[in-house]
Amino acid sequence: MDYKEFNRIVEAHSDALYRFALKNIKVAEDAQEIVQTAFERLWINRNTVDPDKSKAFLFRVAYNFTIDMIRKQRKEADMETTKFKEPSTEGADFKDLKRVLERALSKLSDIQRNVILLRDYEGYSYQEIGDILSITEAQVKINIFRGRKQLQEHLGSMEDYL
Amino acid sequence: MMNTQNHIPEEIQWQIFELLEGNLSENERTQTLEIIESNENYHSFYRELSLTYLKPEKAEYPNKSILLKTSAGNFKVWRNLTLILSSAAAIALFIFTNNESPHVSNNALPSKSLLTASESIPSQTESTIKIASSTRVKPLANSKINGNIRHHQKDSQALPTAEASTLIAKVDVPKNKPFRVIPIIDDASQDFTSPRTEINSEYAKVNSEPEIKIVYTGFEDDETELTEADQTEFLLDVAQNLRYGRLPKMQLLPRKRQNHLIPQVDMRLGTNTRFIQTTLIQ
Repeated sequence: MDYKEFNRIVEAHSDALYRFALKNIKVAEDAQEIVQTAFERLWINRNTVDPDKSKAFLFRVAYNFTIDMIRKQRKEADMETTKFKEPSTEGADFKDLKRVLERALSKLSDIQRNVILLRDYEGYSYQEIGDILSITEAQVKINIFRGRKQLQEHLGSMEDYL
Repeated sequence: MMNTQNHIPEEIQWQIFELLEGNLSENERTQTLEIIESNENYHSFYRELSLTYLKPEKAEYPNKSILLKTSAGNFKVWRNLTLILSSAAAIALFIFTNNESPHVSNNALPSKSLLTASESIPSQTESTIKIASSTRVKPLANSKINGNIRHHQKDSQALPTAEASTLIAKVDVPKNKPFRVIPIIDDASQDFTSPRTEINSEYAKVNSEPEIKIVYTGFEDDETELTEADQTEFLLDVAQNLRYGRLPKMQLLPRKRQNHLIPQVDMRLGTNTRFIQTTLIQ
């Protein structure tokens, strides 16, 4: 992969990668860092990564990086819970479906959230998602199914606010 | 809206899911729609599940330009930084040749001591970057110089940061950004890896990066044996090789030590790993 090919990949995938990271991590600066790191890794591995598989490579790096970041944030948040309680969703400002869904999405397991994000936002096939997340096609499908059911449950429980 | 899935056989739930995922043939699709229409709970489940499909949103990555390369191995920003450092190196050379710098043996310190130098910290609000090397230094590629960059000395008196006459550059760094934790590579044979993935919360509390000064610490060999042209070549080599296969933002590694934060920048110099160590003076 030469720099022209690399630039083409930047143009083609940086927005999607950013969107994926932002949906996961919620903080724009962190999402930007994830994108930057993913492309750094791609450049470092440019001689071994097939350009046709660069998108999957980028998403895989971003996913791993995101999971690490989320786990760290959760750990820090756990330390803060003695001081601050997370505001309850009941009666809060969840008056539109999008916000409710985003809230529900953040409550899914990492794997469920990411299979849904990759499926809905990026239109990936089960096999492509499996390649990115290093799980089987069947596991992808069942995680999408279970994730959507949890989202549906959450929507049901929020009926008073919709 | 009701939560209906508890009343629906899992088989039907899967069938509805497959329908929404677009995995069914035309016949299967028709049959499933008929099943859904036959039962109010099924219909509610279908409707609720369909709401869980996210609509793609537009989001543009704002820093795309810094990812783009203008030629192999060079990022735009890094190129600009290199130009600044090259200019700085030329100034340093001028000062360097007019000032005698202390010598420190290359064997005086283990390589890890790079991280522990500069304990004596004067009271200022700026930092200095010193170019240091690991113990496994090798001659620079494409350079006539066999001398090595001198190590830091544990006793910072050898390299008095406050009085350093070898100040060569000031580089503005972005403020209010969390520091990233960067692994310092101490093995010249080790491939460079990207920064570790976490942001250290302790370090992240430092939200104001100081102004940076770069201090060139001199050659291992006797400078008098080196011609001015050699020194210039070496310094330019240093500046031009400030790249290590990742985005060239000024990445600092603040290390808290004895109540002082010591930001550090690592870099790859030619085939060797070198470090720029900064000392936050405050």
